[in-house]
Amino acid sequence: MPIIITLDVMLAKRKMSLTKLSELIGLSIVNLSILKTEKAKGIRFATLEAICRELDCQPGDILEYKPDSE
Amino acid sequence: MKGNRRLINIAFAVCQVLFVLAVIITTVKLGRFVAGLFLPEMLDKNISCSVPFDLPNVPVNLISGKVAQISINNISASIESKEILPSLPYINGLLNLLWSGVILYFIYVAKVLIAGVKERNPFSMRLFVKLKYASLFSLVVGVLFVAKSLMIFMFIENNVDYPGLKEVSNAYLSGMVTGQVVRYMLLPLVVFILAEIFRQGALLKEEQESII
Repeated sequence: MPIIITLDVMLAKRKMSLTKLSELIGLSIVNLSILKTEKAKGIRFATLEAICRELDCQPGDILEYKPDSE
Repeated sequence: MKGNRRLINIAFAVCQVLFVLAVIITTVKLGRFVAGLFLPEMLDKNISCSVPFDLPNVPVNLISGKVAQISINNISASIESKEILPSLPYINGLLNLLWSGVILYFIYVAKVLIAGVKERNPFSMRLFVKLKYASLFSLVVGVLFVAKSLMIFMFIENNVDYPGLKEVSNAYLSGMVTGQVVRYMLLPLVVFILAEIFRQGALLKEEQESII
């Protein structure tokens, strides 16, 4: 998929663990892990909003578009 | 919650018992059918072809196997003859066998469904496929049953010429059509709708699981 999740990069920048983020946004660590490893098919605006709020970033900081190379 | 789990366990155990019973019954029917197929003399007994009373236009009410039941007012009697349709015992045997197979498959699907409920995961594409096949299988057998009845009806109308037995009653035909269509066609339809519900559930679950 051409959409890449850069949540791990943002977490490293903010020096925050996945467990801490899951506690802050009220999402299970399993689901956050699915999102981080790009196994999710979609992300709700509410989830995106919560992540951006807690990591103090923009959606573009955790999502990146990279076209598939042929 | 605990009561629900107990109920599910009981239902699963009942299904398992029913499944074993259905396997036994189907095996016995298969054995009988195969024996009948290879030893036709077992089924072809000499049966008298006499008509019990001699009146014109006796309506035929029920035909099953080698027996045609006739009645006038409240008096009823049976005509037994292998000449009605010599291959009828084989057709009946085969259809009964197929129907047993359908029941066996239904119990198996019920077992899979209850196992899914036990694991808190009832909606799956696997179950949808099984239900779809169960619906299709029962529809095919149902169509065969109706076709057999129509075949007997046509055969009786065209070939049976016993004294006083000429007319097949309309009540028999309409009863056969409505009764058999309801009996054999309603079940596949209901199962197909159920299969569709499970497919929608599985798709919804899949969608829900992958959107964070």
